[in-house]
Amino acid sequence: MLSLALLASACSPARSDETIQVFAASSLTDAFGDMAAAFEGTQSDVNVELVLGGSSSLREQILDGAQADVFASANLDVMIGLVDAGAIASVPMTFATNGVVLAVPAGNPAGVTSITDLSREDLVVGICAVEVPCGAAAAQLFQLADLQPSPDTQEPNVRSLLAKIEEGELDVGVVYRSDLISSTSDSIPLPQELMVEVDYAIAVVADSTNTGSNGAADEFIAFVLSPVGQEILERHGLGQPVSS
Amino acid sequence: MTRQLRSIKSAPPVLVAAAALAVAFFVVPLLGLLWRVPWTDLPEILGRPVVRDALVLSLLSSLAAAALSTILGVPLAWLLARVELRGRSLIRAIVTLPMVLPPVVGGAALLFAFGRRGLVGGGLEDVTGLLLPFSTAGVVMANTFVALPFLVVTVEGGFRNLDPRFEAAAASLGASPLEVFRRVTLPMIRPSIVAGIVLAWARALGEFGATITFAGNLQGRTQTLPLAVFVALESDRDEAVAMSLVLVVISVAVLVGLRDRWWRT
Repeated sequence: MLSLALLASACSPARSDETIQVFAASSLTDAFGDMAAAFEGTQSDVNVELVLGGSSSLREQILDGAQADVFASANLDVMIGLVDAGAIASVPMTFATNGVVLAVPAGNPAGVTSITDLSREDLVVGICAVEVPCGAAAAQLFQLADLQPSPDTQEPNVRSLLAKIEEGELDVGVVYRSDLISSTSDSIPLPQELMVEVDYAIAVVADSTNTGSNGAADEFIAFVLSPVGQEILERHGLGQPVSS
Repeated sequence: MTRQLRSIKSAPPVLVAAAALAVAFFVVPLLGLLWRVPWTDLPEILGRPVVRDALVLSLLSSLAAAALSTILGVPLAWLLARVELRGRSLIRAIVTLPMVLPPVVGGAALLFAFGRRGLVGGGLEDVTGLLLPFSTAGVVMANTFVALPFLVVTVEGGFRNLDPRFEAAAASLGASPLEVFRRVTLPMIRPSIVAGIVLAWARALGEFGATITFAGNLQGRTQTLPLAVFVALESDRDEAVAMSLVLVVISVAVLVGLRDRWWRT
């Protein structure tokens, strides 16, 4: 009887748990899983709920009134769109960088050696749709390389693109560097002058009720920017923001 | 056939209320869509290449899938309804599986079978040079995969409800089995075949999951209207809504065109 009572009290602490909803880009899936767990470990009474999806899809959900506290976007344009719409309450902070690479199935069966191979007629090439950040980054890469490849598919998000590369259905695709950390596919290095860096931005959403000096939403963002948070991101292949 | 219809006043209010709720369940989302339609910009949006390409591809691939379903499905339905067959229920279960399977699972299964690294896809590419994933043929295939069961189930019902004595009479007058099938059976179950084709076509027109998984997404080649709507929802709401309206209008037009069958009161 006593142990039951103890158990019950352990399960329902006196202070009611605070839950924050963190909307994060799909390329942050693994990194923010660890981030949320580590953050919850530093707080006694905060739960983090992750909502993962394409950055632009999450932006539309927030504009449609989704209950988000924090938004972490895989490019700045998406975040700026939300700021312009008055949906962001804090100054967006750049918290990570990523780069695009060429991904090929394990062993590189098609023998891709450089970006110019993307114009080869015999290769099946995939990129992300230009509407999503990884597609915008790929377009930027093609512009830098002065290349106009004709892709065979424009996948709706980076994860579905990577899956088709891993499966060997696509010979080569343009993905984020960080996506390759937990992937079976290989990468083809790009020369220095073709480095496309993307910035990840994080901010508190205007409709959030967990804001203010002690609000969990601000605490979470501070944690992401802290050395511990940055170490987690680095482990998942994301770079530190370039300090100005 | 005459039917006795009662006055709505004498109908149990609970049933009427539930039925009204069911109607509202379909009408309210439709109004939600119409409410968001950018009417003034509509002509400009519908003239955009991405919208036109998707519309053309959707019409072509769904019609091709309906035709393929008819050619393959009618004989199969006849076999299931009329021929003593070992493992008939197993065959029927396999054929109707795509009706309950999530389309994305169907698309993945197609990829594992007909993809370049798939069970038979690699050999097919070596022999014929035909690459199904990321091609319009792949779209038609994904559409047929989900649409064919609707035709088979509908037409099999038609065969079952047909009195076999008509066929027996024709046969006794000297018609060959194929002649009986062509000149007696098919004309008599015409309504079922038409209904089956329309259902299969409608299912193909709305196909999304199997298509994007198996055939990918490329404007002009594999991007059908539902795929274009999905991508546009993330970037251009007006465009997405305009294309959704096109899908609704096409579907309603077909239902009205078939009012003899379904709108008869």
